[in-house]
Amino acid sequence: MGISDRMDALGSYSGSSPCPLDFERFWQAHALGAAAPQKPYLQQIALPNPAAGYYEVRFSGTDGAPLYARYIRPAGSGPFPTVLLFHDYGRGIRGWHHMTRFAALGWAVVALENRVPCCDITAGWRAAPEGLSLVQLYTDALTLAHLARALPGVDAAHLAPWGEGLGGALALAAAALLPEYVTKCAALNPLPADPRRAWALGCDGGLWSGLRTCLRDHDPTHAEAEALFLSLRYLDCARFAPMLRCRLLLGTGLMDRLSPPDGQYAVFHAASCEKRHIVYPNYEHERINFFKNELLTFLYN
Amino acid sequence: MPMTCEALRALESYLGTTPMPADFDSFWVARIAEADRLPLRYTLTQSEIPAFDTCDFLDLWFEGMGGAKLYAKYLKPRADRPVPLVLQFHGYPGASRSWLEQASYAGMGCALLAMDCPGQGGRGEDPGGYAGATVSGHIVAGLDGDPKDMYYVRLHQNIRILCRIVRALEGIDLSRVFINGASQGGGLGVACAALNADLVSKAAILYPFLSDYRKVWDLGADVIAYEGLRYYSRWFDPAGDRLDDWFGKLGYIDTKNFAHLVRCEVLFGTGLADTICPPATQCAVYNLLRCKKRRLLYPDFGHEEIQAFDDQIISFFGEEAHR
Repeated sequence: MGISDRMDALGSYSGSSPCPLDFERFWQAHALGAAAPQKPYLQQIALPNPAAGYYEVRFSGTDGAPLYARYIRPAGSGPFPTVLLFHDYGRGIRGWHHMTRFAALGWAVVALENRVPCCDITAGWRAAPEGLSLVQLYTDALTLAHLARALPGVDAAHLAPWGEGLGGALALAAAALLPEYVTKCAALNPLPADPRRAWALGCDGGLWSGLRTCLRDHDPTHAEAEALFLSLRYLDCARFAPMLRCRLLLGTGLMDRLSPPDGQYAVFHAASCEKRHIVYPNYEHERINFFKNELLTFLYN
Repeated sequence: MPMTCEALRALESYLGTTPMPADFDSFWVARIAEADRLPLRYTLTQSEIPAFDTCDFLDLWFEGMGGAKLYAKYLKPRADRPVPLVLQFHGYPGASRSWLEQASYAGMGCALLAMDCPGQGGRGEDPGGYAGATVSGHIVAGLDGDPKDMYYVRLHQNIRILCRIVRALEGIDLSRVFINGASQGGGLGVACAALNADLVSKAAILYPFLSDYRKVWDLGADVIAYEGLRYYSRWFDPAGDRLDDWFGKLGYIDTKNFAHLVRCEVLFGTGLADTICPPATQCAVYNLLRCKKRRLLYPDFGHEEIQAFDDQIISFFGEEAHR
């Protein structure tokens, strides 16, 4: 199928599996747990830039695990609208120089470092939804969002989750579950989206490599495949989209082989908020400069 | 396989393989004089990015050599006193990075000019007219003609014109003009620092491209970014009878040959797993720098984003920017 035909076919794609009936209830409970107050440890980093303050943040996940984040705020008393930054599978937390960009715009940024190991999508599926390993990572994102609201200088009512790849899913989850405090959400090539469809399209690397182990090595006749894919619906970031109340900016590289565009289109179609989808026909699962320009304008108003 | 630190130490006295033209310095004095004779014509207008309360995002268009219409992104943080300025140069064959990425420097209180190399992935027009093959990249564009008409000679002249514009901009602290560049940007950054030594006070240079062409060819690394060398060799010097001739011309645009003219402080970075710009070629550049300099090595990194180096820039520029 050519590019044009593919874009036409995806124009109305809404996903291959229905949303679990208890999806929202399940995640609201996790959001509540993540909101429990805690006192993070902040350590200022001495960098010669009077235009911004730099901090390392140490806090705990809902399971007591130690977590780490970075916080940069513009100079001045604030409060400042704040980006919640989430990173992709296989990448690390962004550097201080990278994140200083937000200070130039008058925004603060709080960035989560994903816990390790985190990223076998099938881990714990038999005890789904609670036992799914990635549920804890999503919950870490919710913990970070609640914690960020209480940081000095953060405008608690103006958060903007943003992420690429797996970070995009975390951004969508945070935006969906903290609607009173999130005004904007941006995601580029979010994953995981529509796991059943991803497997059907041949995705078995990166975050999907656990599917290969499950289905080829342990379940070659697919006796349990239905149960597996039903359990993974709780991690499908497209299922958060209907809960969004903020403005949404979504970017898709049409040649993405790690996060199939099909699932990303499902994210966009499921959202009923004010939204915009930009599709880049010749880009893969990669950072896209032109989307960054769109993100900059998105943060403006 | 990454270069080991031991192998790198063996290159401590390596000064490059590409010849240094005997008239290199006088050649460039003449080229700079040509660029300085051009009337300064430029416009600054609002870009596609709206003005934030904290920072402006502007389009700079200026006239370059041969009537070229050239473009640079200009970011300026709002400030009540003159601010430092960063000249940012991009990799090959791309374009200046996004406005959002460039904003990191505005977040450091610095203005930034990021020029798009004409004829590559950004804005700005290259008038062309290069002698010889034009199909295989900009290194060999014009190699069959007079050296002064090669692509990168013209580009360094255009960067000279950009530096003249820096001097004319409002609200810039001209005692704090910095350079940042990686890959092609690193090569252009070294040349810019060399040819505008009275303007530039610091340069952060990461894995410079356009360096030690003869060594690249010797190593068989004339692929991907350096593919023009192999193309030229195969089509125009298949038996290697004229190697001294065309590498002699390339000597006028070899980054290592500019190094002795650099007077500012340099922070230099190399990934030892770099297969695009061989570490040996980068060593030649670094070893020939006579200025105050410091090199950071990243054993497990290739020709890729190196966040740890970028983070060093906050201190490297910041120490001077906010004295």
